[in-house]
Amino acid sequence: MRRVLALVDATPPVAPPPGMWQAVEMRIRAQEVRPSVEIRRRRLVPILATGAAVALTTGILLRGGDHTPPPLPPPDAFTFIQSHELLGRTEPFADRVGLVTFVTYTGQGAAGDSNR
Amino acid sequence: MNRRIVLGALCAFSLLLLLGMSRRSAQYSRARARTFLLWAEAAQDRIPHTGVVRTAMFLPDKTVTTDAVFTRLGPRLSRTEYLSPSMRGVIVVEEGDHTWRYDPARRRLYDEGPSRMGVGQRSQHLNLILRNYEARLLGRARVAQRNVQRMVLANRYDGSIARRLWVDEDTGLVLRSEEYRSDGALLTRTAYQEVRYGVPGNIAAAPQIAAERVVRVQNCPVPAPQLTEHLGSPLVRPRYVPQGFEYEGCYLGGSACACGKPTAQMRYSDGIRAISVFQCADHPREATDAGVVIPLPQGGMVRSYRPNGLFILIGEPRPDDLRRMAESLP
Repeated sequence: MRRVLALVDATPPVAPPPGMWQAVEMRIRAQEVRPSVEIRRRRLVPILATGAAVALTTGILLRGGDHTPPPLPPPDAFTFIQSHELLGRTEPFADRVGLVTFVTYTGQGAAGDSNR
Repeated sequence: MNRRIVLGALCAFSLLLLLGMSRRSAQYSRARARTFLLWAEAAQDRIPHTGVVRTAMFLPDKTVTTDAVFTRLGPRLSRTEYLSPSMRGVIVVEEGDHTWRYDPARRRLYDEGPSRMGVGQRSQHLNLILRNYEARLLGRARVAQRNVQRMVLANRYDGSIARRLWVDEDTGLVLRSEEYRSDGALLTRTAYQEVRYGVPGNIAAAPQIAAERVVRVQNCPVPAPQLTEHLGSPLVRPRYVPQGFEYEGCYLGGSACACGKPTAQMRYSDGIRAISVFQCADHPREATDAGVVIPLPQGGMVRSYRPNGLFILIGEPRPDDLRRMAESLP
């Protein structure tokens, strides 16, 4: 072991020939397999489709579908709507608890409530 | 050759037997669903119980959710108190032939008449439901920690589902119900979050009601001649009525119309869905939306000007049917 170490110490450092590392790098790069245009296109299609789907979903969520607000019934119609609903309360299987929610809600939307 | 004939005859006989059995089974399940429905209907008014009920109303632009405590003490005796912020303080008390609804926002007490039809009328109405809707049992489920039977009421003419019910197997009480529009969209869902059977030991004391005005809402049918006299114009009924709908009666709408004139309300029903035709004589011709069906949460509304005044139709049938009905007015 001592002899080996002595031999290593005695040996002068050897520099690599000039341009060797560049040559090695070029050979490595030359061996890299680059995907063909067709494969790259095939990979691109699902990525683009996913992106489009995400963008569409985000758009729908932000816009809430059809953004056109539904036309409101004229204010004087609320009393008629309430009257129509209230008569339904006596029917079998009428949802009486839900019906009062509906009547109160439509009443809150009425402009003016002189009669009811 | 003979063997083939025998085999063929056997196969045909087996097929006929299977067909007969399946038809018998379908008839049996329909009869069972019908009996179950009638039993459940009778139970709604007589089972003492208390529970927290949650209602979700699905509007085109939002969902409105309310919680209420419902207590039934017996036939025609119940109390509902709403807890949600938008309806806090609204109390409905059903007591015999009166249903009192207190609206704290307006400080008004409404007397809305009986909350249930009379026995004869209810029986007629149930027959109407069974003529126009097929009741189907869909199996068991759990609601509010109770075993329930799922039931659906499907329209016999267009197959659309109008109502889904979750009925307590032991008591017949509807613990959850869903109401659908004619286009299939869910309109409301009401479900018990918890339920306790029996008369509750401690019922909250009656709240201090500070109503400024008591409003009586007319909900008893009025004879047509009396209504004509009050209206000052003959009562006019549409010539076309959607399939399955029947005329139920006419009511006095008081001075519900914005013009201050009295209105008549004619009501049509197919058992589950309903149409109201309001007639206001001598109403000034001002609306520009006549003939156009305006969508409402529960259906649609259409106005029509005729020689006998303004007509407003509100109801749950399809928009085309509502428009056709308005056009059929003389």
